[in-house]
Amino acid sequence: MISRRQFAMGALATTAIGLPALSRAQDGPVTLRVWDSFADEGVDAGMRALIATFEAQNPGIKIQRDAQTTDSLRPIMQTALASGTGPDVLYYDTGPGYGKVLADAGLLLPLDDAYAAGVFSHVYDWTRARTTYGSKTYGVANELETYWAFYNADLFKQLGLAAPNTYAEFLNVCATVKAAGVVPVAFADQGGWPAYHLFSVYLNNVAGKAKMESLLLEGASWDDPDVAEAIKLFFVDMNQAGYLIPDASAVSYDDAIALFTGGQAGMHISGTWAIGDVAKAPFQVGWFFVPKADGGALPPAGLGSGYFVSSKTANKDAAIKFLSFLFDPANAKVWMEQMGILPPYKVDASAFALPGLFNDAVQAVSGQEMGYNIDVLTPDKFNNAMNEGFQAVLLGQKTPEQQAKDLQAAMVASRAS
Amino acid sequence: MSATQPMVMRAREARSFDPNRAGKYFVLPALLLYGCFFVYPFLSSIYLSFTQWNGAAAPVFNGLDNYIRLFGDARMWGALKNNLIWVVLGTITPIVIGLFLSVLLWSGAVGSLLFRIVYFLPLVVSPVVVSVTWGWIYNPLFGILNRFLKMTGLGSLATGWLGNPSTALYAVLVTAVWGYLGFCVVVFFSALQKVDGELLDAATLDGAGPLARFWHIVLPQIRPVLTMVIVYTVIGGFNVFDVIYIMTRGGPAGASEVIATYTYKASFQQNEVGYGTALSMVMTVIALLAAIVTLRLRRDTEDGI
Repeated sequence: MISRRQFAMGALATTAIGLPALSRAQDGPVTLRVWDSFADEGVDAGMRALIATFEAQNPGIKIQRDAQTTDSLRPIMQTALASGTGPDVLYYDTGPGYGKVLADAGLLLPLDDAYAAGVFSHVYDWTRARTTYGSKTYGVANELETYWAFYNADLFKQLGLAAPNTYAEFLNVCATVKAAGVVPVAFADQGGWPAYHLFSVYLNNVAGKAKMESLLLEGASWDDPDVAEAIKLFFVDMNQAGYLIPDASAVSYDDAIALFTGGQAGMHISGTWAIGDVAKAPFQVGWFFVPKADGGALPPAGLGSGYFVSSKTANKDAAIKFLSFLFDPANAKVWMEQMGILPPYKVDASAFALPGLFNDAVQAVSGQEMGYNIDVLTPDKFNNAMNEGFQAVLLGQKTPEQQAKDLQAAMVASRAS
Repeated sequence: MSATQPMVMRAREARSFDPNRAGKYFVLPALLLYGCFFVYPFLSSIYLSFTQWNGAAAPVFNGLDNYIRLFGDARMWGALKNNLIWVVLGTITPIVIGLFLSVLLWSGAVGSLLFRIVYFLPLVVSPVVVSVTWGWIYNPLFGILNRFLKMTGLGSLATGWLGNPSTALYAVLVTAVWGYLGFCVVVFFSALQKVDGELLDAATLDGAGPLARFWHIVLPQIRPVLTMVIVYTVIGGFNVFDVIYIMTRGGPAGASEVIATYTYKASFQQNEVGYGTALSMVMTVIALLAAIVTLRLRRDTEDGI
């Protein structure tokens, strides 16, 4: 039986022995926890390669990475960061319902100092706005993308078709492909989100850039004839003409891609992030921007997710160093060749081994006037109204005018909450 | 040693090992876990249902605003209606079919063990696998259901089962019933083993037919198990989430939305955790009331009321 004095002396001795060990642990390698959504095989391999290179160049920093799907990350990120058990560096949606929510809650570290020090000086200026909430910049947006129509070039040649220059020509292409017994446009909306992108494509063309800016950035009303017209052109006219997959709300996006690459659909309107899947088709794949009525196009451009740093990180310097590495133009080759992702800065990709479509995307994004991708700039309630509302329009349960009204109501409700 | 010492020693021994006190200590770890992982979260949820909280910033108490909004929320009532459809059809169907199949197996059909295994297999398959597989069956492009209908001259019935608002909920319900049926068969079959065969023989001798024997002899003897399965199924019906979320996400246009999927969307996609919690509280109360009513009905039936 030990006395209290002996116990106290023992505890003191243990602490005295332990403290140096503790300080030795703090002087050791830094472990940086990173959560991202590069869970699919190809992008996962690319990210692993980047991390391996970073660790080799920075032996004092160890990356502990956890890759999950975007859907899996969203429910857990807020609680993880708030509880202090989250990552140091996170790859997360930059939209107002995602990155902004974290920033407003004080869970993200402002990166203005890093920007001012020139760490991200080569990144396109306009991309900084995507991760700027209020007056501070919290992240670096990534995955430059646009939307266009992939088409089966072999089928088009067989039917004597060419990429359309006007919307009337586009409808003629659809009619010809349908007459040949092939689904004209592989549009599938079981998930609800593909509709956002088609809405972006059509509204940019119908409304024009100035109006898109007024809708997205200046609070103009979505209960607008142009909005209703854009909804009608695709979700009503194209559907009723039989130019879309029958029962589109029952078909998944992956099945739509499979339908196109299997040669059973003539076109697939999607983002350039689908190039990797579409390029596997056993036929030549072409592309065109969905044209406006009088020719030309205003394709929506946007950014995917972005990198942020947790405000609770104990490894701020290591986190910034990691971000600087990821966005170093020297690593563009991995982003583009292995991951099929266009980084947010100017790249000379002439020496890269890229699919032809990807090279086209690089040229298109840098050479074409671009509009706005709606869903990455709009709040959750609005996106939910798009998700369910466009399904209702496709099913004939709602008119385009009613959907436009509902979008405006959702926007008002978002601003009020 | 004095004469009192053995008594003192026995008393000491009795005090040093009290089975009742020992039992409390054995239960304590489980109670602590229950408290941490159920009671505390449940009480927290009650509080959160009275807040406006986006899941990131601090919750802000907003009184009854969530509940006032909830009762005026047409989407909530639509989801609740779907839950009620699910509970009624999703309870009656597997129980009736399960009972029928278990009685068939109990009657000594050849291959009874094989059938029991086959019926039980869906229950051991992951709900995600079941949902994805049935999604392929229903697929309007390549699903075997539509192909079968067309082959048999019933092509007019072929549709986008999961994309048609008239059929989406019921198509998912069929999947859920298929996955759950095996549980009912196995549980009822076990209960049937305890039925008194002599009573059945006596009833047969008295001229009772199969239906009469089932209603008056078999059913009363398996009533406790039947009640348990009904209560379990009803509560499960109010809490259903996974199969619906995987197959339709509550669509198209909310046609298969239930309270749990609406709660998930409100909490994690619209950053309205406070409102989502209020939705889940309402569902908890409804499920609890349904279970109490079911148990009360069973007790009244046994008492002959």
